[in-house]
Amino acid sequence: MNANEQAEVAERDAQRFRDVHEKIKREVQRFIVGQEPVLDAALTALFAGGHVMLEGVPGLGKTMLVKSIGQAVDVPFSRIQFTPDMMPADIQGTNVLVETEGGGHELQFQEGPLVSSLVLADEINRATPRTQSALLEAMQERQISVGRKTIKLQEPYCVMATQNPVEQEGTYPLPEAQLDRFLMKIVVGYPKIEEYEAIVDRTTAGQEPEISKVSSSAEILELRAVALAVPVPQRAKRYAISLVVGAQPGSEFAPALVNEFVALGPSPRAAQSLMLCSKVRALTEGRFAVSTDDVKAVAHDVLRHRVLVNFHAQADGVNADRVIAEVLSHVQPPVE
Amino acid sequence: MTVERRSSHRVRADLQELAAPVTAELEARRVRAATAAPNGLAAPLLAFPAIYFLLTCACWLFDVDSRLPWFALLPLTLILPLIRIFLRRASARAQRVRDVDALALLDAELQLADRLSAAHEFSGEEAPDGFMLAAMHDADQRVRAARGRLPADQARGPQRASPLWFAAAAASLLLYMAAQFTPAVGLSADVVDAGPVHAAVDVAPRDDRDDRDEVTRPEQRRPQPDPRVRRRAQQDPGESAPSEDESPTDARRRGRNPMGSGRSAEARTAAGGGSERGQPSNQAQSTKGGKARKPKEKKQDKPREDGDERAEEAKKPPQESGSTQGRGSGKGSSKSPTASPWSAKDEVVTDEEEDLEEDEEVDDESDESKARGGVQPNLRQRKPPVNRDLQISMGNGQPSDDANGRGGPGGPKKQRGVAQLVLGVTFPDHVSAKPNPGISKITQERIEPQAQQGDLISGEDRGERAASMGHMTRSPLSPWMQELVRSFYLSLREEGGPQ
Repeated sequence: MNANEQAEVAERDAQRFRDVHEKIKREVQRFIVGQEPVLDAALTALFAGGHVMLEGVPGLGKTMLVKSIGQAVDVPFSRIQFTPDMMPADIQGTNVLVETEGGGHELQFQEGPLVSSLVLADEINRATPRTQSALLEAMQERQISVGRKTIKLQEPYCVMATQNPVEQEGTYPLPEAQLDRFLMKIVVGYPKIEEYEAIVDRTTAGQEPEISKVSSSAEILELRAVALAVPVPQRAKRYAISLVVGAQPGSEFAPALVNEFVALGPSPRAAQSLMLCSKVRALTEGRFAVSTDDVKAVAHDVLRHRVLVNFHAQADGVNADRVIAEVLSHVQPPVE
Repeated sequence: MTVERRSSHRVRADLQELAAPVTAELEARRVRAATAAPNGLAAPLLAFPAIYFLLTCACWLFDVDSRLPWFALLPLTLILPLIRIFLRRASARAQRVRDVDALALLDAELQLADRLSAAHEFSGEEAPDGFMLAAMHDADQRVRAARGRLPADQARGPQRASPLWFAAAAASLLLYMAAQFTPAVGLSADVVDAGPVHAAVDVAPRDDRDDRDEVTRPEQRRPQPDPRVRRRAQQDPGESAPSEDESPTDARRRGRNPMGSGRSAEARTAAGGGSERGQPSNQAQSTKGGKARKPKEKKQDKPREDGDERAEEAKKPPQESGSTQGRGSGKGSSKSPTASPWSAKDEVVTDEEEDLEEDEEVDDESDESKARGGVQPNLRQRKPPVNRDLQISMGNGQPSDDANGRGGPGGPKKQRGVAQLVLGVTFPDHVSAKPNPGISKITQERIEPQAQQGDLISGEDRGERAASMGHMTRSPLSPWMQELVRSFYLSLREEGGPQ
């Protein structure tokens, strides 16, 4: 294949990526009104092969958004409503005693809801750390180990978790190791005032719009490969690394706010996540290479849950988003 | 519309061609910035004047003529900044702006999201993949649009030249002061304190300067008191001249005001330099004159001197007290546990100090009353504390001598309740007083009723209400409705219906 053909194939792949992305988005928007940045971020995580944490107050449509994505993409979908009394076996699966045809009994493994492709972990912070930790292996290794049995999870595998930031009583905040597994943490805000009318009409008319399946597991996997093939120029790469390092207290690029208020900065996994999300965004924006604008655009969602502020920051009302904004204004794209 | 795909070399050449003017512009800006940057020139500009000033001061101390002509000072002052500018300019010229950086600037200006810089980078790859080729092709389409559009010259604010101007002013001042400090001028430290204007007036001929130098060598001048005192003594020979080793304290006690500048260089040196030279402090020197005087005279002079001192202290801040400066330590410093070590070592209790301590004890009563502002009563006039002895008096009924009405043993008291079980604890039987008149008083007076005139009100129809009825919870019925209601109830009554 010569250079021209290679370029044409790449252009076709990029165009296909944009088309599928647009189709899924349009299909989900038949039910979900507004929340376009949230939907873009969730689809970015889906195409980048990561997991998403959706955080917002009740009633904003987090669960409905994930369910809609699961309906628009033809992938096995399961939902887990986390409760404090839930055990790891409840989500991973366990051996149960079943009766055989000959009248005997045997232990048979019954898969839990975690064995799926698109998993909605609703109110994940209500589960105990023990159950939350059961997700670690599934999210990172894409497999589940129960006893001597190891189950490879079906690709594309994506966990979309939700949590409520206000009702903290009786919840178990996710540890940093668990949070770091999520590619993005998306804050779901209130819809715009002009969107309320459409929300009321669509949800109280008695007929909910049906969401058709516009993509499949195989297509998602192919498009993931397309996204991974997007090249990253040196400048964008350095900028992403500078942002990650700049959010670490005491580092070379860290502004004063980071040194004062950040207890724990993002890990190298944050740089990987920045690159992956930037690649997907470059394709959706119609480009063939990552730019510093892409890195900047996904920085908040990627770094938000990886920046741990200290007590002084909480006392002064400085949150992770403020720290990231400061880092973005302080660290500029490298120019020699 | 399809655009012809060009090879990566062609794309790279076009990108370099596009970047060339931007690169040249950036390099020119960098050179200009290196030349015009004022912040880095302040230190070189100040370096020679500062060094020259220090050297001149040193030469003045050692009486060496170090004057340089002005036409030599100026080039020497400017040579370091010029060298600095030359080096920075050469460094800026040596730094080349990369094409990718120039294209990144173009990307930012044209909002191309790093397309040009990424394509330039990918064009240098040996084996670019499909996406890189696509990115180059994408950038190639925009090169034509971007060609010829240089980034607008970013509006820069005025360069801050204030540090440079300050440095130039400081350099000029240092040179001027250094010129004034040359031994040819022959100024003493007190004139330096007064400022260069006085120094210009006080220029003396060379012969006089030599004579004066013989008298006032630096090592001899240092322990001398305020030179203004000396100058004043020369002006007024009729007045008794102070002794050579007389401290400024003594001079001040004679009513001479050493002024705010009494804290001269010598005085400061005397205050802190005792330990440096390892000599006895000036405190001892100042007390020599005190020894010569008789204690009797001192006692006679003391009230007046104290009055003068207080008047002077009221005029001046306490830090500039001549006694503190001249004697090396304050009045209380020799007794203070935090006194400086050298003063503690050299502590010599003289007669004057002993007298002072005695005086303090004598004046304790009045001083104490003044210091406390009369808030507390004089301690020596206090009566003994009240006798609150409640011991059993065995009912002898004899009043105590110490009784003053504040309780304790007193006259006969009747005992009641539990207290009667304890002998001698007496209670008053009753308290003689008037009955409580109360908080209200009711009196009755006999007054005949009197008729009062009032306005008669006629019962005739006054017509409709003219003024507003104000806020009403319910709107009134219209007349026809009132009539309807009235007739309805009348008909009900006629029919014998419900009442």
